[in-house]
Amino acid sequence: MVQSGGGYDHVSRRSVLKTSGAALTVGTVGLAGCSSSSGASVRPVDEDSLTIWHAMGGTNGETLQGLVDQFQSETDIDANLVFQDSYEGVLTNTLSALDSGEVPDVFQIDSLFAQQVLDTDAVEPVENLLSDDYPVDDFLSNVTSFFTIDGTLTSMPFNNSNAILYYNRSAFEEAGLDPDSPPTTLEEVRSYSQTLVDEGVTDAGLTWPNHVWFVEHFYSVDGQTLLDAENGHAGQPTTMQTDNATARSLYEWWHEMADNGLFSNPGIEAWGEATSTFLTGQAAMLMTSTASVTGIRSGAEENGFEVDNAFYPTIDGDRTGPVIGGASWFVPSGLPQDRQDDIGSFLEFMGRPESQITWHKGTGYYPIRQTAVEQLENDGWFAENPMYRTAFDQLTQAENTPATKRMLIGPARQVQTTIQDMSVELFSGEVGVDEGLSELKSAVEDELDRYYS
Amino acid sequence: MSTHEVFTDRLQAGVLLLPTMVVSLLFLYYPTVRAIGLSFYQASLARGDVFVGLENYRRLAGSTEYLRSVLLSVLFATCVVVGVMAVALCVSFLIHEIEVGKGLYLVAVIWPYALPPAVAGLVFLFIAHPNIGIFTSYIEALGIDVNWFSNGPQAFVVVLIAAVWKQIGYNVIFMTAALGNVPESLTETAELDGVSRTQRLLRVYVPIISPTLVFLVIMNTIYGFFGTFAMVDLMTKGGPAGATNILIYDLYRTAFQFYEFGFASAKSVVLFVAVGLLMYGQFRLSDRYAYYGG
Repeated sequence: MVQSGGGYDHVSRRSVLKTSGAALTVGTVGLAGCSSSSGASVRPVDEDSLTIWHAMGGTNGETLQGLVDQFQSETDIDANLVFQDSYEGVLTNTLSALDSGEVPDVFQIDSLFAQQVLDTDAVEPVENLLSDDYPVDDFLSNVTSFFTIDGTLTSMPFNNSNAILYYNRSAFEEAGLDPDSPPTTLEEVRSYSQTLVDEGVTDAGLTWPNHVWFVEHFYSVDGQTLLDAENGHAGQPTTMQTDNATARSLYEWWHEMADNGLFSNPGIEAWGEATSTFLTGQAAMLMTSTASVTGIRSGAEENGFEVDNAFYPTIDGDRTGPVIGGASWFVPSGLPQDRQDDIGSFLEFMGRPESQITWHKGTGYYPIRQTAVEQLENDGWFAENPMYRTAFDQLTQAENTPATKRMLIGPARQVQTTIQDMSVELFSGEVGVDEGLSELKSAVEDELDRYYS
Repeated sequence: MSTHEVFTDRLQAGVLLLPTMVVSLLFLYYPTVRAIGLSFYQASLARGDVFVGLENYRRLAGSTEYLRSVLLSVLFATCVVVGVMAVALCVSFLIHEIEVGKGLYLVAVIWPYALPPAVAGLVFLFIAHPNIGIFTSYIEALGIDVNWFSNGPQAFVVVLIAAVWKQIGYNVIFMTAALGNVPESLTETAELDGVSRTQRLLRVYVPIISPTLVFLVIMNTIYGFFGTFAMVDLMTKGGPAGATNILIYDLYRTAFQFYEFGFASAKSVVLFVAVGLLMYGQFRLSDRYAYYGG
């Protein structure tokens, strides 16, 4: 590196600087955008073993590995799990792989990005890989409805969940609230929060990560689709539906909550921070995934309070149902038949009731087979774990309408970011609700238009 | 010192240069050319590329969001450069002057620089987190409502402080080295003439170490534009409401989250040209003001 004050002449100093300056700039994007023309033959990353790309870290990853080990010993098919850090990681690498033609055999895609993967026209509907007598109708219809497009199961649902309201029973009692009747509407959430803060029990009433999934939930619980064309399930959507009571009530409430210090903002996509805000007793209520039951229960125990959960709050009392979140298994098209048979065996294994029970108990994600649910019921699992009971009831009691199928669009990440960013401006009061919603609407329209035009 | 040729053999020189050239070609120049090419396409992974000519640049020119990001980045980089160098100069001067425990102070100051940017970002996040930050309650005791997850200007300041904090050590290394090279006789003369400490720093030392300062201005500018990415990513993700969406983060998001590689390439080309021009200007200025001896 260049030394200061020494005897080097300044010409060399400058040239070093110039090169490093140029170096740092343009490089990044060009390196990544090495797209080649596809259409070449598709071949697996590893000829000798199924390659599965996934985004399950920590104990979830261990549970998944356990299932894959079991699959290998039962079937003699080699399968290699490759952790890709995050859903975004799997998506990025999958898109590059489909582009290059050297593909993993199975990849786990977040439901939010499903359409983006379908738009590559390089994936095989999993229904074609399952054997004819595989009991597809044993899957819970509330789960499979999202993954079924034009009557075909396009990807294999695997780790799915909804959002739900967790609350601190001890804090409720301390504030003189009845822990057996948690809030059910936005107005009740607000007044409960006010009481908790007024009584000095917690700093804030409620927290949740600023993720589009929660906005989607408020809409679906209220029976309102977020986008036109049935959230993208009935064609290409063109706009976000903000000109309704759902949107106005949601954002007026959110702003009021933030303005009065009743909402604790953990940040954009800040799942971990939201949970720790709840567990450390700074907020008495938390909205997050039903798959977090186990972690939240043990966290509450460590922090010495009693925790419970309740259905996701409604806008004004009417409840349609939550949207499904989580991911599913996708398969690339164009692999040889014997390879597809092996992949089919893998998918069937992951979907069978025994695997689903192991998966549910190890992670908290829903068991998605009716038979698995009945089995768990008979074993007394739900009686022992009432929080799973509540989570599951929320799913099964839901109506199945266009509103409860989450958005299925190509530019999902753009729309997601737009909604999340604009939500901050709305709840922090930087813009008024009417103005903010119309800005949000036109920003989403721009993103949709750009992608689909 | 006269220049003289170390290598008379061209072949030998070529062989020695080869590793650097290969790495540069493969990881710098080739991607640069690719990025420029890609900026004329609508390129998204696995959906095919379509040639669109200057459309990406037209879109950039008409985007108020992008203009805002440009202004934000310039403001941010300026604050980083000024902030870092002002603090580092004072700290270096104090370390230069002190007799006892010099090494200890030096280590303490350089420490944050030894952290990878991502780690520094995480550390600072947990220091200043609005809800669970270690220092948050003390700052709130001063009557400031720490709310930078929702408050844009506050978020800008917090990321700025983190960026400055991280970079001080690097500057101090160079500044103390440069100060160490200032002839002792100059200091003595200044002291005999009754020059105050501040005057001695500003009127005697700063002009003498100006080549180092010019070098640091440039390195800090690069850092302000590019090196602060990890902090933005980990602390604010460009938010709230775009308040910390500096160009490098905006570019990353366009490319690796929205998969609009063509548009992102156009952004990187613009950024490249802008920073190139800025550096050219800085070199021109430095020729006029920096003292290179002789």
